[in-house]
Amino acid sequence: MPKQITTFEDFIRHILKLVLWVVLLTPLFILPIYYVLYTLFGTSFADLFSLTTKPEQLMALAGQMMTTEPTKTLFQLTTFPGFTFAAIFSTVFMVWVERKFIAKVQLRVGPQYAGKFEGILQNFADLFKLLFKEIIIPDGVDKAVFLSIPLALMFISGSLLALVPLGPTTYIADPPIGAIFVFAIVSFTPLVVMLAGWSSNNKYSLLGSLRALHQMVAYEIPMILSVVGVVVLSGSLDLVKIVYAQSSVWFILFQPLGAIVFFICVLAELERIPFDLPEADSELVAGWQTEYGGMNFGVFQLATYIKFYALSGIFATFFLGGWYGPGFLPPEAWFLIKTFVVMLAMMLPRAVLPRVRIDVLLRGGWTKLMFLSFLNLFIALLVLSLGLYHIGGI
Amino acid sequence: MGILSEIKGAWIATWSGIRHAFRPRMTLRYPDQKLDLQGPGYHFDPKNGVGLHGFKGRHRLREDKCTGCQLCAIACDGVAVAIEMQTMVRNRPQNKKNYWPAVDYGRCVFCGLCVDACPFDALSMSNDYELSAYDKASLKYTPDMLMLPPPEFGTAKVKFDPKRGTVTHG
Repeated sequence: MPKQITTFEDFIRHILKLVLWVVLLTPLFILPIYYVLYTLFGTSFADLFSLTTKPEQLMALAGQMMTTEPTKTLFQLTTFPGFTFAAIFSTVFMVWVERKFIAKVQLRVGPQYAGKFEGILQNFADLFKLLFKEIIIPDGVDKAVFLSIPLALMFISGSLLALVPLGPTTYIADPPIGAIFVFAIVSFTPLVVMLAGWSSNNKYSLLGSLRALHQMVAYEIPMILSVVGVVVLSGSLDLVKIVYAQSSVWFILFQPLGAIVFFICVLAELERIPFDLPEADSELVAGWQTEYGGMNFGVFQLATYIKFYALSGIFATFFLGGWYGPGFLPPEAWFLIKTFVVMLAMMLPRAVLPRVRIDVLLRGGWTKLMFLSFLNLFIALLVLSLGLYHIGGI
Repeated sequence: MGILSEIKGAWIATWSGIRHAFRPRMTLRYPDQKLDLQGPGYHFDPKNGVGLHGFKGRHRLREDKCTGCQLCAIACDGVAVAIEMQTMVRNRPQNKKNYWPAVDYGRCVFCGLCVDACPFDALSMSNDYELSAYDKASLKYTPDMLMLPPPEFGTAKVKFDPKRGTVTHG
């Protein structure tokens, strides 16, 4: 609590204190930025400021930064195949599409007034509402863990993004074990959810997180097993090589069962209807997210939608032939069209299906889907042994 | 066959969702589009003693026919006690006492019994259904408010397509 300012003398003292802190802290922040800029561009501040009056040179510099190495990785990570693009595509565009599409299916109208065209700015209105809300930290929570949960979920979604290959060269990382890496990252979610429920100091959050944990663990194993067929057919765990193996035939033709099982498991992993038991928004408050409000909740939504986009992209990579398509569009556009179709298909159950019961959910995950994914593996082996397909291409 | 019927049920729901995604929507965008309620509202023909079908909205009071006989208020007493007779100087030949009905729409249930009770065809119901107000006092309509004609309404019409079994507005 700062001291109350009552006299003019106090006022002057307060101002001088602020000026002192600014003078002390300026070198600490400004000088490192200056040296980073100097080493990156080899130019001084004066040159950079003079560029602002010459747009052609500035554009040329930006283009050079996008294609040459020290800044290319940064650009890819932060902007195009990476975080900013995914966040804008999934939250600004796809959330609006989801609202309008579900409204259309359910004979409603959906957002209408925010923005000139069909309520396209509704998400920004919701964002500002969330930004201006107070972040409430309840009594007795483990503060460090509690506040790091949104960040941890964001890390999980962001690291999934790095693996999605949008085009033959447009990807951030291409590890030789990409298919395993996807499931390794996805497996972190139950841990984070459990920590969120425990650190909230609320028995309902804890119960909700246990429910989410059951569901995620039950659906992770069939999710991994359903992709084994694809790995057997393509002969590689590398996501880019899996796409190259589909240059003639998409794997959904040989592996329809695997695609269905993977689709259902992704729905369960994302806690979307009909598998939204942890966060049943018509009955419960918010399940394990109960104690998170304001922008913490907004970060949860952002992380969920980025994960939604990344897992849809991984579905398109495994089963729909990634970036392959007729040549009149660039490969990235084909990949985004396929991802968009997969996301629409994942939104449709939310509009029409009711929620499944917890025992049906667990029994389905541990027995039926497991059985179907093993059957799918045998189909893959049958396709190989009949000579319909050779490993890595026809 | 439990699992097959489950899959069939899920597929029927999903297929109906896909069908509705490509059909025109029957929901009206209300404040922008308003439904054209065809014809005048609910009337009562005292000569033949039959009610004429119509929309039951706000009442319309005819200044040249009402005699202030209170039959509408008596009919309302058993239902909602919404009609109260008020004095308002108009000096009409058929209404020397200057007695006119006033309706409290906080109480009215739009049953139409007051219209049935009127022997002079002075009270009828119009197509005006936008009666919301910010306080209860604004819901008490005085006789001269009831004498106003209803406002012009929207032009959206119901279109029924018997072949596809759909209803749309245009």
